[in-house]
Amino acid sequence: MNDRKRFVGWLGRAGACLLVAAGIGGAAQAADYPERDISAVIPFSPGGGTDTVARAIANLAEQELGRSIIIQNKPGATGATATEYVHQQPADGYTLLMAAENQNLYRTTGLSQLSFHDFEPILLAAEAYPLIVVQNDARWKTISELLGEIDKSPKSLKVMNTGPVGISGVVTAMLGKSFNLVPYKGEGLGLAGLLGGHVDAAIVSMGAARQYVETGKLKVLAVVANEKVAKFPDWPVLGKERPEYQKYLPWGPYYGVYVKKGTPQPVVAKLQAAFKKAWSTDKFQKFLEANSIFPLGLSGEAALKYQNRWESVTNWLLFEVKAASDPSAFGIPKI
Amino acid sequence: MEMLSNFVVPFLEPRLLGLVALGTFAGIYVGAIPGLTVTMATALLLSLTYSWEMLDALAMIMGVYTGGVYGGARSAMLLNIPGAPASVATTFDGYPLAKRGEAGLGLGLATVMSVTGGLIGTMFLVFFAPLIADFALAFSHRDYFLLALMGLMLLGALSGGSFLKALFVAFLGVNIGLVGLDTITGTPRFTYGTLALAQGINIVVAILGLFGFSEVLMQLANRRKSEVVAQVGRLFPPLRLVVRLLPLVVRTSVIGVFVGALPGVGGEIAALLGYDHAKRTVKQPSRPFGEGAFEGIAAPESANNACIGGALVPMLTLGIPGDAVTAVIIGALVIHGLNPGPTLMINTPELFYVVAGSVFLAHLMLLVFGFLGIEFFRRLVTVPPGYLLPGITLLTVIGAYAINNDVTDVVWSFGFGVIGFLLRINRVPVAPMVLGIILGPLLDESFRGALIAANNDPGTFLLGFVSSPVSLVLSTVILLTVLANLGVFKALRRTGGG
Repeated sequence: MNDRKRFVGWLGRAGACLLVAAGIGGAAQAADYPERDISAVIPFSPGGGTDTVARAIANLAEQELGRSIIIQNKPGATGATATEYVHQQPADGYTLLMAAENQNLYRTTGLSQLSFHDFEPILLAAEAYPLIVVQNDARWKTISELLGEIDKSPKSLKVMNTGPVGISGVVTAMLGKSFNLVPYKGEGLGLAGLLGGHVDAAIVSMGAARQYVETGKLKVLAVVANEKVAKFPDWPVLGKERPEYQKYLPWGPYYGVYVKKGTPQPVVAKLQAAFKKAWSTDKFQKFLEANSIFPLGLSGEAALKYQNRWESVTNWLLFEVKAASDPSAFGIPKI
Repeated sequence: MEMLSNFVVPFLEPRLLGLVALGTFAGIYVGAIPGLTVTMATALLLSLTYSWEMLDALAMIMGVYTGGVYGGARSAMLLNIPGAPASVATTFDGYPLAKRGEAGLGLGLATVMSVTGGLIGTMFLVFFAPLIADFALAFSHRDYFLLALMGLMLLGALSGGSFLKALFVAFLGVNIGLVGLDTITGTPRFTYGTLALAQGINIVVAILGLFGFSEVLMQLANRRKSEVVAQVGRLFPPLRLVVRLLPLVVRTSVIGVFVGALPGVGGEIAALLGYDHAKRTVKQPSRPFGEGAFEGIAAPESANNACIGGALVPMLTLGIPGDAVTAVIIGALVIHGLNPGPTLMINTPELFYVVAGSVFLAHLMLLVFGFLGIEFFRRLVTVPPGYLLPGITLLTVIGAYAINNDVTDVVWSFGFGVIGFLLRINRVPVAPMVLGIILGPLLDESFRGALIAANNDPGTFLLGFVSSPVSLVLSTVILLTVLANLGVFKALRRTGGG
């Protein structure tokens, strides 16, 4: 009996100790962060655009944080699986979401009820510009020629398409012409389709197509942007060639780092500082330049503003071509 | 000539030689564990080699790639569980062979033929890369559809008696392959509104369940019957056998190279087509196919290793991945500051030859490491079920979880285990289901892609089959194969011959 009493007493004391420890732990959590390795979830397969950008910046940020960032690829459902997963983890800053722009479209495409509004942006690292490319010996000299031809005979031109909410899906919605969108699984396969002459044009990220232009296999009809790209002054830009599209631009996919909303502010600040420092290193900037991705470096209010504009432009464009449901149902304002 | 001297760099540089060796060795064992795929191993290396020198990282990755593709054959033969989708075809004759007590010889043969296929593939890469790249670009959606149809024709070989049963499970497999987001419209298919289904059903999960866990259930259901087969015989295949199989292996290696070079399809389809080719062209196999024919091991094993050289062609010449593994390698190149694409060959031509040299070297290593492990591996067959079954179950769980670090996949693999068990006790073959899951998405995407490219006009769509040279050749091959199997034609040939 005595033993048992003593045991219960011991159990009580141990429990109290644990509770106290947990309380101290909660308060100390932010100051000591990170106390252990951080996991970074990439919502796409290894080797893709999101994956390489995420790995490049995570590898530099871990040096700032003093803890390893363990990379985990969780592809599936255009990133919705990973988004839901990270959202299920505690908001303690130990699980990062290395996302691309897709999260802005989950609600209107019915993939998930989550969106970027459920996450806190640590850093929007970089954005990509789409290019409209055709084979080098194609009959169109300018984007207006191509658009003029499709106006005359709708459905006569085949454009490579990586899915209704991919780059080509959004840009063709923006152009508002009735192209024949031929499906391909990813930019690489689609470019192979263009090089092989199975489609007439492709709309892909600059990084994916640049080399084919430089080696004279493809030519650029337009960079989907308002301003000329400093590095490629010869490439015509859509906003100048066809001013009616200026209101949608700039538009392009972007890459960012997020934590679940509700993460303690000191933790967020620490992560923001570390990732901003990693972002501004020469190594990362060179990496971006080599891959024709353009630095953003936004956090806080600026990041939210960028994101909200992107969400509005894209969702309303997709709604017009019936690739998404009514954005106003989710309180997404029209710009 | 100067370029070719880069080819021998991995042979002469001790560090690279060591890394290729290490990679190959590790690859064999990772590949042999069901569920742990080469893609996964390469992705892991991506993190590990981030701070390494470019060539060091590539040497190791090429080793793992080579070893991993080969390693899958081991579990396919010994446990009837393919280590990776590319080894599915190896189970057809490999497992029956092991059951005959000749696992050692089977593994030895697989080693020799994998090496042969891999070396042939590398040679094609070195000498014909630009030609093969042009060939791959000539493939349109319509041609991918025809390719998938060719794969589907293997169904007859896998029916195990009842063609209708095989057809039924194959269709079931095709439907399972379609679960998830429609890749063309983004519409959820067969997902019942759940996110777990929206990500689709991974082929590796299905394989782990249908082959692995269902085997456990089968043996549990009739425990007394399972007998341990004493393993006898040699490890090294006799030279006469190797020479006799060589013409076949050269043909299946060429199939492997070209299938590998096609962006988006990889070793699993190369191996299936290789097996199908063997089945159709070898009139007098060493034993009937499906009962441990040496041809049935040599064909898929040479094809899937030859696929490596093929898959590297579009990666190195165009920057476009030939399969899932080369997609990861492209990521590795990007992270190391290189720009995979057509300028890769122009700016860093030495890289091409070092990569080709590493793959060549890795295959030579394979010959050594492959045989080293056989003596140990073949004992797996003699492990009593009391130890083996919990082991397989554990592997199934680990393998399924490792795919996406997701418990959902573990649950799926158990589900497929039960499906596989129910099919087997009703004498319905499970392999056609895997065939369906592999080919289903390809059939779906390529057929609809081809139809859309023809503006949904049936006339234009059908005309394409004769107006495009590639499609014409593929359609003719399929037509002739079907005709050759029709009773009328067979009867005709008999009377003609008699």
